[in-house]
Amino acid sequence: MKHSLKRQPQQQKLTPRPLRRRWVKPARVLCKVSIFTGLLLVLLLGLSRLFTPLQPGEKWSIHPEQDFPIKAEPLDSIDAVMLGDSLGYGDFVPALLWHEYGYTTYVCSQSAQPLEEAWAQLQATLVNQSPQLVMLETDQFYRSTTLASDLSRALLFEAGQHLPVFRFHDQWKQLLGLKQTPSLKALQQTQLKGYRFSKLTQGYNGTDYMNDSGILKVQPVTTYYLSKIVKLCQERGISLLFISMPSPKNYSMKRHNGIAQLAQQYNIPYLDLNLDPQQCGIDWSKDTRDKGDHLNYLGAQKATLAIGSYLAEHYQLPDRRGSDFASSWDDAWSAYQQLCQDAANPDTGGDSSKIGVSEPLYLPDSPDLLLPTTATNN
Amino acid sequence: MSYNAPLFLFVFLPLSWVVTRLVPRRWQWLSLLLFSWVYYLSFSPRMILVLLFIICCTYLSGLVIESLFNRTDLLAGQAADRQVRKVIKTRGKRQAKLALIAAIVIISGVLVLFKYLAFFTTNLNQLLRLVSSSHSLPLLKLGEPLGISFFTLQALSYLIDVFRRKYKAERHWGRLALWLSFFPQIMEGPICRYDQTAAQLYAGHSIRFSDLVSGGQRIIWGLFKKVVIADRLNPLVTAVFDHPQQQAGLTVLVGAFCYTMQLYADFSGSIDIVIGSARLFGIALPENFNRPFFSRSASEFWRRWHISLGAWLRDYIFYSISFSHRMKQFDKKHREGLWRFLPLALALAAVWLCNGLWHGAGWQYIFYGFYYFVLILASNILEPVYKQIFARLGWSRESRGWQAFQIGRTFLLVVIGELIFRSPSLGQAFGLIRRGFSQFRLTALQDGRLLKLGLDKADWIVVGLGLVLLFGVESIQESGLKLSPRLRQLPRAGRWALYLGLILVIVIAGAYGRNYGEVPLIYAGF
Repeated sequence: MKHSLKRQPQQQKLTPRPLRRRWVKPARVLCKVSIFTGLLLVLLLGLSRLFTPLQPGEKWSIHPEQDFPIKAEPLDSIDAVMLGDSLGYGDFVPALLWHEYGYTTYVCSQSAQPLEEAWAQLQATLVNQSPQLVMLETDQFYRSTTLASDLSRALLFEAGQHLPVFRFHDQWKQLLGLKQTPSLKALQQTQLKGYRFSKLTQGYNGTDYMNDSGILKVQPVTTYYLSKIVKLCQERGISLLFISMPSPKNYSMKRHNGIAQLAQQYNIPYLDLNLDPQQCGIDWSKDTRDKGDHLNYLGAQKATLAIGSYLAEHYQLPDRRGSDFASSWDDAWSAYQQLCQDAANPDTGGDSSKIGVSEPLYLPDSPDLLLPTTATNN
Repeated sequence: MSYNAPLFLFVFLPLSWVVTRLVPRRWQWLSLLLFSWVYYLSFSPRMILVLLFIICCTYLSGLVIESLFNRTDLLAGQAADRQVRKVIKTRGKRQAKLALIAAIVIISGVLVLFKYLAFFTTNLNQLLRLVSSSHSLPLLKLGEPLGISFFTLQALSYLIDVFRRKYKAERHWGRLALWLSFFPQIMEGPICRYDQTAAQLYAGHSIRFSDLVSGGQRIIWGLFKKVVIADRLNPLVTAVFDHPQQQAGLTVLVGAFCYTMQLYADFSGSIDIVIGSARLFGIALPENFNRPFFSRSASEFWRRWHISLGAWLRDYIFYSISFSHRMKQFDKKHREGLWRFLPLALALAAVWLCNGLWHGAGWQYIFYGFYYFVLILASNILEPVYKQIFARLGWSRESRGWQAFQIGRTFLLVVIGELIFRSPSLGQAFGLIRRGFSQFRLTALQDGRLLKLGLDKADWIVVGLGLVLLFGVESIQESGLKLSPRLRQLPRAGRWALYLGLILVIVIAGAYGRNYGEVPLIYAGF
């Protein structure tokens, strides 16, 4: 059967309505939409007040947990901060640098943290602390997939800055008593100055992952927040350092070149531990917890010592051992040591037999682990 | 820029709406077309060339097919002899058919090239390895253009309909281009027919408050499904199906159930956002879901789930085979016995092979299609047997108990189907099914195992309440009550309280932001 698609009938030519009457209906629509939006905004502001983390002297919040654990540290007690994603909190051990050098470093990292979150972490840090150095773990530079996805994430982040309910909306779990505050994992991480301990071992059997070429450019939204971080650090006289933790899953020469280009542009030193991980002692069959994505505690020791050596060579961070707040750092070191012992000892709950830990745990005076830096300064 | 992304909801959609409204009505289609292309470019600048190629190919093929018919009509009209007229018409139809086949080959070829080439190459290489280890074909990774499964099917439906002379070929290139690339539907469908939406898209629309309200309602409801239910279930689904070898018993069944719910909430939620977004522009897109979990059989389920795909396969695959000349002849000869089911079996086999392949290039998808083929064919063959049994026992097939049993049975079959569908491979799907049923222990409910799969107690409560609300609303709709008119009858304060309440639920209980990863729209990956 034949059908023909009906075309829209031509608009009848009517006498134009008076201008005032033509705008009455849209104006009423606009008015209703504005009132509805206004009401929504008021409600969101009220909820934001309720959901914002509790500040000293404040009562109206359901969020008693400090969103930024570094705020709990004594005033001006941190000399270097590591900002990053899981490669930051999983691969860098502040307690080890305290024990080795007396440096007070802190990891302000979240899982899958994009650079705008690092920016928020830095702002929160600078409220109570005056670090000399900010270390940016560079995996967070490549969090993005597309420009649109980056813009979406940044939009949500900025909304959360003005309406904190978007940022802290998950706190209803605590309000209803359905989540422990803070969680045991968070408590342990806070005690270890931001480091998250992992004893799992799943080796990486892949080939050399830094043999490609080319440049993978960093997306504009990331560079926007990086420029904000750089500006803030310049204003506060803080040195910046890019660090790439060893990770076959997350790094390539393309990425290295992209970061190196950025480092050159902003005149920031760049330490890439991927260029020769063997030199800092990484054994990919034992030192990774998830097939080359993150390091386990053994790999983290080696990476941290390599970074410590680089810091000692290039920066004048003070030795804070013996200071007023040294006891909390000694506690961190003791807790860390205990975890290492437990991980290596199957009788005390460690499952080293399963995870194949065969090498001795960290020995402070072991010369094998104090390796020269593999830094590449671009 | 997914449909639930803040950039789409708070920047792109409002901006495109305002600009389109500011443009004179006769140029609104151009504004929509430009925004659609900007939307496409935001995903992949290069892949827009594929979309443009398909648009050009469809446009030209449509015109060629129609011109061949027109010429045939003209020549046939001039011929005096009836026999000659018949010959001219047959020849003309054959030429048009050839043009159609050529266009189908080109468009399907593009789909195969971008979506299935890697799958076919991998399987061919495995075959070659069996024969000779020295030969293997290079594996080309071309990437997949956004929405290719949707717009190619739309293009094919248009050409087949032009060939079937359902409507005339479009002469306005921009009109066809807009119909193929309209941004709210390009990523997830629904797969629209040309006569359903092309005219609406091209026509300008004035601002109507009712459009804004109903569009807004659909968007909010879709966001609730997507952000509160689907995205919250994602960690559990990922934990179960990314490590299938570690799962057994109840965990597998819970994982399959949760994936079914996630898929439904994700896809139907996205479609709600799509339909709502189009409605803001005054455009009514066809529905793609009709409360599928109230279905009493697998075939009814597919008439209610992804309706536009089911209808496409029915109209262009099933009917093409079952109403073909040969099948009709076969049908006339075999009225009795099992042979009479052969035309149905062949048509169903083609439909479900296409359905499986459409969802992805993998054996688990092909088996998923085969699974439904067996279910639907078996129910067709056994239908007379059921009738006899019920008649002899004097039971009513319309009793509530039987209906509830049918709904439960269909739901279970669907969950098993989704388990196959979500599994990383066919082998792992079989392993999961085997372990799910053979190692089933209710003790898993008590030992806290289900709380170690990425969802804590609070998450389970949110998901549970979300599903109660979702299926509560659907039960009301299923009973025949229309909620939208009821909502309109409420006083404004009540309506607004309801809308604001739902928005706040999404803001507070939604799985988004810094503690959650971005969950892409599931069907955008197909």
